[in-house]
Amino acid sequence: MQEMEIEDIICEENKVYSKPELLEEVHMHYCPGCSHGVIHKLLAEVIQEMGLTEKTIGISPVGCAVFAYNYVDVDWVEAAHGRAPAVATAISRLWQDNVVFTYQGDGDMSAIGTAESIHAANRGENIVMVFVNNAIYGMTGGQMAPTTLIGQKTATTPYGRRVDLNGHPLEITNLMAILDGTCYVTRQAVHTPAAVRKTKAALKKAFENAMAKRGTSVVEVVATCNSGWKLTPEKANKWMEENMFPKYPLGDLKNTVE
Amino acid sequence: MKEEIIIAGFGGQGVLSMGKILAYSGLMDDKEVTWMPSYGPEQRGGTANVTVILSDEKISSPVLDKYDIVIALNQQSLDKFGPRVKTGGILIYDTNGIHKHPERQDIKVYPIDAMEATLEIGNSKAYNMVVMGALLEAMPYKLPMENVIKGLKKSLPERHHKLIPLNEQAIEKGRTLI
Amino acid sequence: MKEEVRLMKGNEAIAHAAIRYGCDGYFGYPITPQSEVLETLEELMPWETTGMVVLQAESEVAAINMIYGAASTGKAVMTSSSSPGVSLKQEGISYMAGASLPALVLNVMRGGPGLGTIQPSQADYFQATKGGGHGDYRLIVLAPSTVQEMVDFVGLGFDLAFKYRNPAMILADGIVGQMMEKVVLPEQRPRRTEDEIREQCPWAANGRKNLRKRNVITSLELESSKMEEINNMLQARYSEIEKNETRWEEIGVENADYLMVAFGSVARICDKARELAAEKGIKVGIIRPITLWPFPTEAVAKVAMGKKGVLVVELNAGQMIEDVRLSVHDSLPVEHFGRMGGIIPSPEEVVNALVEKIIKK
Repeated sequence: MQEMEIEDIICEENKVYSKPELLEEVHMHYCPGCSHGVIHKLLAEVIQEMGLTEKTIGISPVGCAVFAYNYVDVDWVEAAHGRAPAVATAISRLWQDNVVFTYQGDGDMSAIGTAESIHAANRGENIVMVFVNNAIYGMTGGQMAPTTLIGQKTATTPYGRRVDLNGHPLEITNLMAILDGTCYVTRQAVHTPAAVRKTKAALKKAFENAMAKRGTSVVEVVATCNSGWKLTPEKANKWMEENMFPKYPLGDLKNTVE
Repeated sequence: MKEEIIIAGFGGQGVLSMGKILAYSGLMDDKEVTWMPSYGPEQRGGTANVTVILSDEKISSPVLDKYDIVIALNQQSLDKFGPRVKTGGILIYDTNGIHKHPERQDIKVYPIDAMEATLEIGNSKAYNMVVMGALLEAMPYKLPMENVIKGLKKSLPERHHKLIPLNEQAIEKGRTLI
Repeated sequence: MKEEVRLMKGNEAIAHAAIRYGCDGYFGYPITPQSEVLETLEELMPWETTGMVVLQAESEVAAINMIYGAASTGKAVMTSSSSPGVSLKQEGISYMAGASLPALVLNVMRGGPGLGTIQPSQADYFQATKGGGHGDYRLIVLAPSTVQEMVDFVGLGFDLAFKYRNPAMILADGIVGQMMEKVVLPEQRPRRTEDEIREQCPWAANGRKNLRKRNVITSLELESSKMEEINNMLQARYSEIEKNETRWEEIGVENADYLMVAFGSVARICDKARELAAEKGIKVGIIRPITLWPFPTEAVAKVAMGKKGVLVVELNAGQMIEDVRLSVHDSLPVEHFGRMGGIIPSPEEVVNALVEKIIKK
């Protein structure tokens, strides 16, 4: 048997996967097992594949993804907490040939920025809203989010979230779906290769809608925060499937464009 | 030339719009002008007043203690602004509903029945232009009528330009009250 | 549109000026006494003519963040509000200062604190000139005293904001917002094309055209040494603005025994008071700061030299007086006369205050 050199194995024709060009050559600050990295990668792929590198402007939030602008190689504006949809509104209206997306966590989208999110979607701004829902505040150390499940322990619900004290988990994506301004509202995840592929297709559809000026597209990604949840990455995925998915079932909530 | 004028009455008497037409007429006559209203809740049903200053020179304060001309269209306004006519100045007031008339001897006082004159014209909306006519007649600064017409045109929206002859008639009627 | 002479309210004039100075967008939320700005813009429909975008936002907070977003892309945009609304905008203003963004904010001040009154006030002087939001930053603050200046300062405000990449504020009051005066509207300045914006603002985040290096607009820097560098850069910019852009007006100061300092429409009340005082044989001059920040410290010091006393007149409890005192140190008596709650002092009241607080002392 002929001996193989390492170069024979690492060669172009054997390549099955490569890092998207728009993903920067830097270490991400995200915890191992965090969903943000996968979602960033998908955005980088979709933007590049759709030929939108020169046109895209991302709005990063306050939250773990505040530094998204360090990882995806497009123009970015870092917004104040919750205000990404307002920031995106003005940019989208003033740069008609460009495409604008917001990247928001559950605090940004459904707590401090509820008004901006609902109103941008209600006006039908031609933007993409990527909503990463991990049911906890990761960056500030694992406090309760509006989407935290009943019974879920966080730094501010140390004995578990209680309806009488903290109210119900907020299904903001469902609210977005009933607004006339939204054209596409979907809930996805990135915990399995199949789920990743579906999320990518959803993002693509959302960017197409924005380019075609069909209104607001909302792509919720139900995500893990294994640090916040205090679980290993593997257990976090399992916990998400067993606890998050029943409350936040995956699939399209609205699709006016077939 | 400088005329410091206040027009005061009830909201709805057309006080603010009369001030605006006066200011615009002054502008058409190449004067410096300032129109300063009382604004806010007072507009709705309560008292309304507007200070209009017409001058050859740059205008300083839009807010004044004393006026060359006071036009008072109700008792409240007469009580408040009557004492604030400068010595030698002019006070024009509508006699309708007035039970306490001014007694000052150091100013020119013109009681007018603008309501009656308006009724004679037959259009109650012309009331403020009747008062305007009285003012134009009494005011030492003679504002040419052609510039008043220009001021009317500028102040009124296009769709109301058909009312200009009526306004002109009202102004002429008002002049006869002095 | 050619140059045009009109009679209009300060608030209406702002709307016309925004269009004529080539403003790209206005985002605002109604509040008395400045709602005519948005109303006039909606009536004029500039999106049909110059292409300017006008949007009624869901809140003042959203509006200021729309401005933040648009300014991040190099567009010339503005918002307007009145005191309670401007309080809500402070977060966005701080972010714009932190991210070095040019934009224009108009505050038509009303009396506070809280919901206060809708009548005129100057009680937001501290907020406008000393920070307002969090962090060490400055706004370029212009104080108009006439409707004409409302117009002119829209152009000046944008020019300065873009020259220094810093937000500018027009600090007006209900008087100048609500009164009508003769105003000369400037000839239409064309809006910049997208290519012109890219050239003028190479820092702006408006898409990586021709695959240029990416631009990021942010006010975040977690590494302290770098954050201090950013602060030093801002402070150097502020020194530059202080050096170049301090503006004021002097009225009859040469042979005066006394000095009044007032800004905005109050300076005009003082001007009338100056006439009334002269009739009584009192010689008083006026300094009207036009830029409240940078404050005309040296001019005030120079003019005050040799005078017998200074009266600072404001529609507040005594705010600008602190800057006047810092300007003249303890070289002469500096007293304050102010009315609050939306009350406007008459010229005669001002003369009386001058007599009581300065001359008799």
